[in-house]
Amino acid sequence: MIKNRRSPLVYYPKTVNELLQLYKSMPDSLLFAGGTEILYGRREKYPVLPNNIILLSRIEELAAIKRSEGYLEIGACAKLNKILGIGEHVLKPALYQAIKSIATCEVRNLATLGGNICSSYRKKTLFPLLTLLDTRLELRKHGGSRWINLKKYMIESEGLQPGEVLTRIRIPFNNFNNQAFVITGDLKSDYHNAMTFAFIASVQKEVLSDIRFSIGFSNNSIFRVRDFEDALSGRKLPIFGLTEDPVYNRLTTALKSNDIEISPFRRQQIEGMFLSFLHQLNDTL
Amino acid sequence: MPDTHKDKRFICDYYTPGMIIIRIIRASVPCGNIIKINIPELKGDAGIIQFGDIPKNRCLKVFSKEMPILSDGNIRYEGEPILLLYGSNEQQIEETEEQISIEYDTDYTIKSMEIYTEDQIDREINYQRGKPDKNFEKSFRIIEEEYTTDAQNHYDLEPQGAATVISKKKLEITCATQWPFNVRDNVSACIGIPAKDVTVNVPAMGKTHSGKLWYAGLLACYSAIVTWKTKKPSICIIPKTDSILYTPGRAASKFKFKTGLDEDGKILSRSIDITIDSGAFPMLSEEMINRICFSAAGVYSTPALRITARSLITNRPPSGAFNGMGFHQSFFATESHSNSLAAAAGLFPSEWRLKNVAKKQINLPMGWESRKPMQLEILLDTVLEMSDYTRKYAAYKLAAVKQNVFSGKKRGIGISVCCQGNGFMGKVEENEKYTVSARLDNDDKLSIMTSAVPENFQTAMLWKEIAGKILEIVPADIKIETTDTSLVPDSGPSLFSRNITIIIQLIEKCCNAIKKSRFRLPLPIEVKRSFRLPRTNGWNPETFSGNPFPVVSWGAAVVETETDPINLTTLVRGVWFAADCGKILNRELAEAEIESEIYRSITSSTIKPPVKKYTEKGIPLTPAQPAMNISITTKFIDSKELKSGGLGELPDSLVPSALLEAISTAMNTKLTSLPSSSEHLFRQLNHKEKEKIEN
Amino acid sequence: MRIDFSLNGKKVSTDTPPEKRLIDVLREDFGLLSAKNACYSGECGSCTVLLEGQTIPACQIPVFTIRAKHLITMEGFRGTEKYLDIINAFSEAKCTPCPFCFNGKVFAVDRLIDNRRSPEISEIMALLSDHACGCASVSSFIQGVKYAFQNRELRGELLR
Repeated sequence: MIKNRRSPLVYYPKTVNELLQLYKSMPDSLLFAGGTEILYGRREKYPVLPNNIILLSRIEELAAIKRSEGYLEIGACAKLNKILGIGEHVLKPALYQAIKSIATCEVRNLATLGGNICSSYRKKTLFPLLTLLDTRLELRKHGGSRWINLKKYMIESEGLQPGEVLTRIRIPFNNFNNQAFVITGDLKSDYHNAMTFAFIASVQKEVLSDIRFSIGFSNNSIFRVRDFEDALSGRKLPIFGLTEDPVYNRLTTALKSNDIEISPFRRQQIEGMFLSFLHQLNDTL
Repeated sequence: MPDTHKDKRFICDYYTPGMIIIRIIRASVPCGNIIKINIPELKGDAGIIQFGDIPKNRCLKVFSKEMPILSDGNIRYEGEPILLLYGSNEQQIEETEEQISIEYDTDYTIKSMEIYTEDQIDREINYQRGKPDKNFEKSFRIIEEEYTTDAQNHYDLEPQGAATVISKKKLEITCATQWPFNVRDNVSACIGIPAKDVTVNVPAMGKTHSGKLWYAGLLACYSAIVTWKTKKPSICIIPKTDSILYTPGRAASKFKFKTGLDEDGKILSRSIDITIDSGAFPMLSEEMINRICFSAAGVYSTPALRITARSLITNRPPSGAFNGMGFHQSFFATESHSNSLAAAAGLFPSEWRLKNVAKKQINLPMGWESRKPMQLEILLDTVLEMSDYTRKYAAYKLAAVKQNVFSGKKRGIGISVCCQGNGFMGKVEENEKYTVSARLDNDDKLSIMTSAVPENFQTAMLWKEIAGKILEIVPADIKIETTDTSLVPDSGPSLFSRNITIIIQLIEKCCNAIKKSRFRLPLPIEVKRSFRLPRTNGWNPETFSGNPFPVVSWGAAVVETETDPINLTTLVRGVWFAADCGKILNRELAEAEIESEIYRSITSSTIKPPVKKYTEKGIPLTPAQPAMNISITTKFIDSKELKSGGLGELPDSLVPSALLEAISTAMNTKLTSLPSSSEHLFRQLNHKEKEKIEN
Repeated sequence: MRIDFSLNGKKVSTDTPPEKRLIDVLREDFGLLSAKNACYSGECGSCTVLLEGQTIPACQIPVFTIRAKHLITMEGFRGTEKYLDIINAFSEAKCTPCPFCFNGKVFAVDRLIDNRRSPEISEIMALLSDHACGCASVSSFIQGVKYAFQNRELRGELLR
């Protein structure tokens, strides 16, 4: 016997406090921001949604974008196209490119930065870069709030707690004067096989003062080799013959480690991408 | 102009609330038997249709082949329709759909193309011309190679479907089809009513690439059965994912070549073994295998030839026509093989082609009886000159040897030459008596009646222009009736560029006949004309002799690429295209068609869409198009053919082999399967590297 | 659930399940068929409408999200000067998108040329990639977008 499905009840809070109160009383409700991830890939005309939905798009505070001396602060419900509107000179090339690579322009008018971070599926697009940029997240719940590093947020026990909502994303301004965001494959038509590479480096007086790079994989895991980055930071440019250097083993060993399964093709691509970025750094001199 | 678009209705626009909606419940296993179907209690006007509920004929017929409209208990491919769930409350239907479960007995071996048994063979052709074995003995060198092409799905933008209403005791079907009369006949047979009691209307359609040839008939049957049972209007629209996965796509194929060359690099003998995957129901395998055999040896002089070809029945969705129906696969394989032959003979691919292309039709591999001179050399020279091929090829070949990831992007260039057969092969056109009629009314207004479905409004405009020119009438006074089977004669399916070659010829004949009697007989004058092959053609399908097509188009192309040696992605820099396709009716339209087909062909040759079930996220639902602006140069050479030939299939036959050859040249390797994604290119390079180390 | 919003400049109200997709509400409850329901995944662009002046895929949002918002569909856009900028440009460039992708392409071009600077080829190609249909020739579409920008610029100057 088919039971009649109940249509969901929708709540339209206008302030963050209203939202937190509602969420506290209904922790099972669905927080609905852009909605693109919720309906993506579903073919029903009447998609089954949880009984209670809290719509976030009416809360102005959540869509605000602020610039301060040290960082860019983006409300979790700021639409991706609105963020792009800040301009490439503020966002810096890598972040600008990374946001632009997400879905179609029409979808970016709906999709939010918070949605991208909270989605369990789309870890590949912004995560690799935002972790490199030391992004911090504000998580609020009724009666309290905390700031957490994006990297920590990815650890399950540190992530969102019951009743908690991602409200703000803070990206520190940085002096990484060399940046690149590269996609291999096609994120739109073949998300599973595509990879994203984020590189940032700071070069001062011919010295590579800081270099970071991370890669987003098909299984939504992020690859980063900190000790390799550390070993390179502080070196004088140009760097030639790195593949012969014992330091390079740190990268190749990490690529071959059993923690992440990487096909030989991917290994070659990652090494190639990294070396090509290094090549670009050498060329900046 | 596009503003008229507001009146265009696609099949999805025919739904109105209250109509009965039909959902197809499909098999989730590739083969086996149904043990049990668990159906929850149905509410309201909801109902179920299974194989046994089909009123009369339970099979869909296409030419001489048949397939069950719904599964008869035996599952032959994953996604085979098992039952229809219908009702007017869509929300309720969606809920019921989730609760239907089917149990299967799946203790069977899956039939595939890779390893096959004798009983899988649907049709086999053995053809021989000259003495291949003797010529192999005489050959200076023999080259053996294997090529494969994958199955290819349709990525049409608009959904597929059919709607039915009962009006004055007649079934009125609205169905996005390229073959309205096939839909009418199948619906009348399946319901068990005379064909005159079924009319088929064709709504607006997007570009089809032959995806709506016979599959639309299946959906029309579903809608008709439900309306017949409930006496209410019904509509069956399949989701985009189903349309991609189950609409009859391009057949996968495997080619094994053995070619003997003389000292100069000229072909002496050829042996080709071809296997094609027709899927679970080989609905069009006869035409497909004939076309594949016809084109497998390319357009080169071949003194001795042996072809063995078979189409196999497998547990995959049925294969369909898809642009060219075999020409694409054949020309990819044979043109890629030609590049290897050129390399073996120590010649540039262009030189080898110029040396080997047939000068007269009688020298073609299949040896057409017509002695018409051919212009393949002119076509090749045209693209060579436009693209500066020779210089570029030499430079890129040299650069490719110096492999270094940091030496920048690798450029490559490839060339190919092919033909396109317009219309069905041989007698099909004549036997089926496909007709067009025209009527000049008292007010000097002309009506053209044909069931051919124009691809776009430009095609219809072209028909009007041609008729208008003959009868000296302005296009505004010409009406084209195409959409209702009760008003128009059967003009056959709209594929193989028939709308340009066959239909235009018939319109011309009708108009010329009206012109002759216009001032002698009282108006209205109505004239009907059916197609007849020229007597000189004399095609014999048993011996593969004669000339099989009413009109043949010829083409050559050069593709230049740039491959990133790190991530192995390829950007197409330019395509130079030359064609000899008879009388050009509208140059702008022809160029636009070539351009859009080149883009599509590049995408399908380099992107391998992930094959997934519709339930998984991430299946691309749109016809992927590379975000690159390709410089395309097109030239039509002066043709010796007075009739018009099609050209839409030429890019799909030319581009894949030229593109893969360009990538192969750039990366100093050899790509032998289609599509070739960057992952595939890497495997190829890696394999080569390993071989080098082992040696 | 009763949902009030502004549709093509008029205040309207509909009583519908709140989870129903906007595209289906527009097509079934209001009979507006210009936006097409093709992929239900926001990928093909044929369901594009203007929500608060922004192009969005109507298949990707349930109807409850548009309460008290302003929505424009092609039926409301047709006949406006902005529409004529584009349609006249397409006509001039002999660009003929099919009726299925027409809706999405026109809205996307409108968004692109509103940027107050001449659209770059890469932007037009990205637009085509987002609205891939394969019906119109790429070069005529590029030309059409350029003409559309000129038309709008010219009209803007005339207004000034």
